[in-house]
Amino acid sequence: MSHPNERPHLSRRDFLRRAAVAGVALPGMSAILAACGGGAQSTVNTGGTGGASGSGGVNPYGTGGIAGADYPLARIEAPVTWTIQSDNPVIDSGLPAETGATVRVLTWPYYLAPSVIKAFERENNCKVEITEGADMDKLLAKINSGQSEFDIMFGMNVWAVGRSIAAGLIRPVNMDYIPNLAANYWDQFQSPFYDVESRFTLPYSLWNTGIFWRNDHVKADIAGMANPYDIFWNGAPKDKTHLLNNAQDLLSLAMFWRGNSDINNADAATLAQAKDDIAQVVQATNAQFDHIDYTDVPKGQAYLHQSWSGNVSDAFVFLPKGDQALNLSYYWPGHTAGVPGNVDNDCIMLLSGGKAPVLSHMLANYVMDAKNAYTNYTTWTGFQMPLKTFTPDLLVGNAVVPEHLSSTVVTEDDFKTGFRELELPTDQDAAWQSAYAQLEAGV
Amino acid sequence: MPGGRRAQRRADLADRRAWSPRGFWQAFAAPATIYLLVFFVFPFYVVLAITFGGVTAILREPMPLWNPLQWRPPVMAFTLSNLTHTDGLYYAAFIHTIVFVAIATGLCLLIGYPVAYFLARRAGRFRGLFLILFFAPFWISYMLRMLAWISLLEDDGYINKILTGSGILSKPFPWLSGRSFTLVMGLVYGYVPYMILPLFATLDRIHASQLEAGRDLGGSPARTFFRVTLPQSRQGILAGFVICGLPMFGDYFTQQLLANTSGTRMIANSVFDSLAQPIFVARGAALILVLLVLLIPPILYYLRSTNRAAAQGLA
Repeated sequence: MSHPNERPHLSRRDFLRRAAVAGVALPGMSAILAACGGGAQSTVNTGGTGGASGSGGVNPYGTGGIAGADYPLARIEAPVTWTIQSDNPVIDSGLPAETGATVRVLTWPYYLAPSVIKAFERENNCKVEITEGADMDKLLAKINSGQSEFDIMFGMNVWAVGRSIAAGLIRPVNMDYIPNLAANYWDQFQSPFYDVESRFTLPYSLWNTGIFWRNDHVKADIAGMANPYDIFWNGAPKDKTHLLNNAQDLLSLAMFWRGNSDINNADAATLAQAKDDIAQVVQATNAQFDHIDYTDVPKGQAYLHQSWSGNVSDAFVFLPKGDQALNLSYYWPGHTAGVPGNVDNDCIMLLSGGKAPVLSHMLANYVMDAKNAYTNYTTWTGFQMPLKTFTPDLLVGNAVVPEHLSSTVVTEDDFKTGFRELELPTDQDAAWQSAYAQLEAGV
Repeated sequence: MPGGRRAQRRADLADRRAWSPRGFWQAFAAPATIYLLVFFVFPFYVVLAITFGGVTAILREPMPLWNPLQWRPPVMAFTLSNLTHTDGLYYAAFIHTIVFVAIATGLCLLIGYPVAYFLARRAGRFRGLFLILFFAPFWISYMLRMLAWISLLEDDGYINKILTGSGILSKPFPWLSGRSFTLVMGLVYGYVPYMILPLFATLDRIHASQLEAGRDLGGSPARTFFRVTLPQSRQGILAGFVICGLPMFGDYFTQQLLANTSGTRMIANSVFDSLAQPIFVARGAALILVLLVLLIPPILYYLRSTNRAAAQGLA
């Protein structure tokens, strides 16, 4: 007699029968799982890194732009006008603000001053709940998951604008609620090339990408060099050189160094050359990739850092006791004649899944107010907004930015001479990311 | 005899009923089974579906393919190829990982064994106090402890201040600039308690009479240690290797904070970076599967060894 708790014997026949049942059940279960899967889209590209279909011209998502993805890719010479879809309309004008509502905000760390938010809450009798993320792709994934019903995002990169609109994640803007755009902002941002008529986007922060160094350790006159980027290939300190940790900034650095400003249209050979050039810097200096330049350089972890101007403008607050702001220098190579440099902006986006659309319009407008923008910049973010009143003279004069770091203040002219890092066609984007992955891996 | 068989059957039935209602004892496994299904089997299937799946057209996020009949192998093939070829994307990180984990686990044993021995056999009535004092730093989260190491090791940190202040170095040493040594030390510091605990438990169970017997038979202290104590603590050492070494394979954080260069990159950093880039999430998932498969043999060896030791009354 077998013990009642004894494990039943599984014969070979039983095993085969159960395996067959599992074989039938698994695809069936997979159909259920597929049905449960959410997200803004269901098209599957199994080619490994995503494919691209033709676009540009007229497209369900917008007109203009160039081909290379399922939606138009914006270029300065090929602006995009996004189509407002019937299932995602502009909200009516003159609606009252939602009462007792919570505005759910998505943003980057240290990117929205708490004092400005508190004041908005007080004035509008509402709550603002902020969620932070340090990576644009992860922020997009959060929005796309649809779980948190975010109302507004501060700081969406221009390269992510097209895909977000095409995926239906963005609510079109009703400009009646945003008078501060026309009143306070630079003319070029009234109808930018990446969103003609500002149908979906409002500009937020500006920056240029330059060279940040400790002048007590790196003695070269970088600003006076014929090609300031040379410092990374000739004279960069070993173990103390850091580069930005994303494909476009990193590889563009090498292209700019070689005088190539056509960074959004690089062919395979150009990309391979850029990768090899960066690998040369890494090999010579044991360079690290990160974007914590605002602490790395003041604390002496790095003496030379490829940096965003917004991270530099207030980096002096991280200096150790006894150290001086005068030891920190920054230069944007775009200021040197004949040398290309990157300049960019990001956006405020109203999100289609939000439950407080009127309040989120009001919050965007509130942050775009000249006084609030100044508070936001000077007390918290370090990244300026494209306000007409923000000039190097004002910011240096008010001691907001140390005089020797005035190169961190971005001007309207910088956008005329600088070059943008825009969304790449799908296959090129994959190639850039692969090159970056190889650099990270040291191969 | 039919009547006899019937009586026997009745007796069997009564015997079964005396144990419990049908499925009663099996029901005790239900919470663990549900837990495993929800938190291991299903996520594991998701990892498989992502590895062999695709990418969405617009947001370029991973798109799991739930139906195994539709699974496609290119990402797994890419991953295996890049792990096994010397110029592959993951080869160097994989080799670094094996070397760093082997050294760090070995150092954990070298540091942990004497500590565990002291705590188990020599700490006397202060054993509880020593245990608390020794493990107190580890009540703080791993992340905070690693951040504290940054404060210690940065250019103007205490270590460099001591070394330059005492004249040993003329200028601060760049400990945090991608040094393998710093990374291994960080791993040892982070994981040494996981080596000490099983060793302590094993050494504590060795009866003093066995050591006395060794000495009574003429063994020197060293000979007694190598012939009695060490063989009896084998299971503790093995457990320490498993508990301490396996998590190191999945550690990306220590490298990121203490030695963030390509020269010290570990395989978990490759996983982490792949997962951070939507179009490469499938690569990260494939790496996770490969790592899982590679780590199964040592776990099986440990389980087999433990079972054998239990059968011999050693564990």
